[in-house]
Amino acid sequence: MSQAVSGNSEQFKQSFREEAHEILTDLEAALLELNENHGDTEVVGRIFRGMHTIKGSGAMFGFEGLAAFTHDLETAYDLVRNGRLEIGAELIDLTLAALDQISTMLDEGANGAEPADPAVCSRILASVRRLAGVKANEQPAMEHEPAPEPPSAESGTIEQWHIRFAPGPDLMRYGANPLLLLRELGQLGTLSVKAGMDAIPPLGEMDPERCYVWWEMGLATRAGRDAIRDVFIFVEDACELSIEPALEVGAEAETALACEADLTARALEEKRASSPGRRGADKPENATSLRVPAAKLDQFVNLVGELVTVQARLGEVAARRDDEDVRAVSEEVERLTSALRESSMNIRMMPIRGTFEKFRRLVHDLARDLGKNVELTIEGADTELDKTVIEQLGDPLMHLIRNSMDHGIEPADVRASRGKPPAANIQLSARHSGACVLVSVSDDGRGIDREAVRRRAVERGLISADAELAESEIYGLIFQAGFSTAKKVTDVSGRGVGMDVVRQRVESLRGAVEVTSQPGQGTTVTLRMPLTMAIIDGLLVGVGAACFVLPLASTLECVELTRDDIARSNGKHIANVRGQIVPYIRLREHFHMPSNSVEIEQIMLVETSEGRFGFVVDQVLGNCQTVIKSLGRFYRHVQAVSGATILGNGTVALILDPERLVQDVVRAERFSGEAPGAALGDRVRHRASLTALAGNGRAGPSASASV
Amino acid sequence: MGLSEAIALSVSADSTVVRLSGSIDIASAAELKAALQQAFEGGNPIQISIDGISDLDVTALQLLWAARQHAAKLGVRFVMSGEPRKVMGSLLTELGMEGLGLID
Repeated sequence: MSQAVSGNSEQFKQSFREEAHEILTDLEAALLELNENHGDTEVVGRIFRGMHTIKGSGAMFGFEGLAAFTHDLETAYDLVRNGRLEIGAELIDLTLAALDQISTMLDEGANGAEPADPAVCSRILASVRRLAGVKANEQPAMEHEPAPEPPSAESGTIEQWHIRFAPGPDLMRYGANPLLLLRELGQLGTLSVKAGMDAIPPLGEMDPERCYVWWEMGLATRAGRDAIRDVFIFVEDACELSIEPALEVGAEAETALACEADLTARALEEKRASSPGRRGADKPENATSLRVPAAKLDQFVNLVGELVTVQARLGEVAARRDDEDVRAVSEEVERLTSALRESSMNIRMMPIRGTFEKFRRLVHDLARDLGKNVELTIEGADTELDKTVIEQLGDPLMHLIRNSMDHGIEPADVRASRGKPPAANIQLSARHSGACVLVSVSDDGRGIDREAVRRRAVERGLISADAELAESEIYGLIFQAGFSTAKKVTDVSGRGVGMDVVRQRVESLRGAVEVTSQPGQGTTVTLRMPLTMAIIDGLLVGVGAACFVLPLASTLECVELTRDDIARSNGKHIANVRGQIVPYIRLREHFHMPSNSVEIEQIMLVETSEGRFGFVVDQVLGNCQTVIKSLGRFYRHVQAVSGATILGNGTVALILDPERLVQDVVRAERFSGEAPGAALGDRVRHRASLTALAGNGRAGPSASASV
Repeated sequence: MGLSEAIALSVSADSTVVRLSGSIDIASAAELKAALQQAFEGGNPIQISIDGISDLDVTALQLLWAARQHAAKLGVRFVMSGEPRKVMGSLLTELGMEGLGLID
């Protein structure tokens, strides 16, 4: 009989794909660990168990090709763990390449993914077999030696288990086949099976695709409860399952156990022992986590967003009406909405570990290709970020690492001549900083040659030859489109594409890029990313009839700006805030709005990568929970506006991106030759003159309120 | 409902034959149920021909089991022709269904 899983199986197949991709990620990390320490038997065990799970489950869900391909790899690692095959760089590289093929096989047919290349698969398998065969033949004496038993198996006694398995109504519709489950269970030991047919209704009432049969089984095995439960891992949510110890069995049953069954049981037992977190409790009802499709989560957050908007409208209505009851209800709804918003945002938060760990492979492969010795260290992998941000961070981080590996890290001889350790280090780190997460890529390479960057920028006409640029501004030039100081273009980088993409991607996520570098000592690129993307705390400000939202996280304080203050600064857009000179941008002018400004305006001070800046508005309306709505494709080039939100009264307010707004203004003035109002051009020059201005007692506005 | 090539129904004056071939699984379960219900309509003895089967899953087995129970209730003769033990024996053993009266 064919073992093919029947139709209607996409849901279970997808579940298997997700699980298998997680296992592949674990396997990749384990292989890279093994590469560091070839003698680590615990890691070898992890690799063997991962492959065994992919093979066994793959066959069950109709991935026969994948299962067959994985079988030879599993065999090789069984030889390794039995001491009959030595681990080496070639086997590790082959296995990594094989994992790529397995990943491709998993996605075959899903979302139009390309199929795996049979020729590549064959080459990998041939090489693995050659390695396994050569090594085995070289050590004929070991052929007949018993394989070392893992410690857990030596003490394992055979126990009898009573298992009741009742498939849920949709189990077969999802493509699972009870027969294959029973066969896999049989591999654990001696199995006796009895089907229960009493739930089958009369023929006319039957749902033909529903499984009505249930099974009672006796299993004599060395495997523990968790290993038995692992057989049902992919159908556990769609069945009733109980696994209870029965009577001890004697020597007769013990001898009946087949060696292959024993091996499988041990593998599954070890797998369970090494991954306690995957399912923390014995019984499914005690499960502490739940896998939910991302689309459902997005829908949930969208609905919470709508609720926040409606709650704002309710608040407006309640404020207009002189009704204590309505106001009380409105306040209660506001409290609950706020709590719900916090909870829904937390659900979207994920540790960045998965993204970081993927780069171990990239660094390993690039180090090999570039002939460099590079170690990757990871810090703060448990730092949590919005899942959308995490998903989008992969590409920018990849570009940064490739750039570091190719241009930052010096060749071994150069490192030696500079007295640096032969193994270069790239560090990936993440940490919280207020409402942001700072994700950094650091290397201990040659650092950025500021003069080279400057020369190149002049050559490309990005700056004038006599431009005075701060250090951060020079580093900022490397993120310009097409900018590269690389003397040669390599497969890895040097085309000046990557860094531009990094900036664009990070800024599209409302993040910012900062660079610090020490010549000869290394470079650190820090991505300042917002914690969340969907709903933010904002500060609502008004200019004329229009409302704008500033992200609360970036606002510092609010000061008044009177007509006298403006007159004292001689038309320059600068303010003196407690002795500190702060340039400001008049939103009314910047957005070409009708000029009928109020007597006393407000300056909202914000912190940006360009330093402290002010935005002049007519009035500050207060805090608001802001559901970020996209402006759509038509406005996608308007970068100073990161989105829009709907206010309680139904009007739309634009959400400003202070960072981009300031950068746009600074950039525009830098290249205009003459700053509008001579306010924001060369900030160094301005600050000097403005400090003098402040010293003359012609101070601008003073701090009057804080937010 | 039209029947696929895997499931064929032939009705004669004194018997009804349901001929199964190839893979009979959840994909054809609805067809099999329809064929079995149709087979009962004439009240004739029912013969299930299974020699051409290459694959059979639990949905098919439980339909055949329900049909056999239905036949017993109606007093209609219900037999599996060919060599059911050879075709289905090991499968029924693996599934713990031997001795449940699914085959004679």
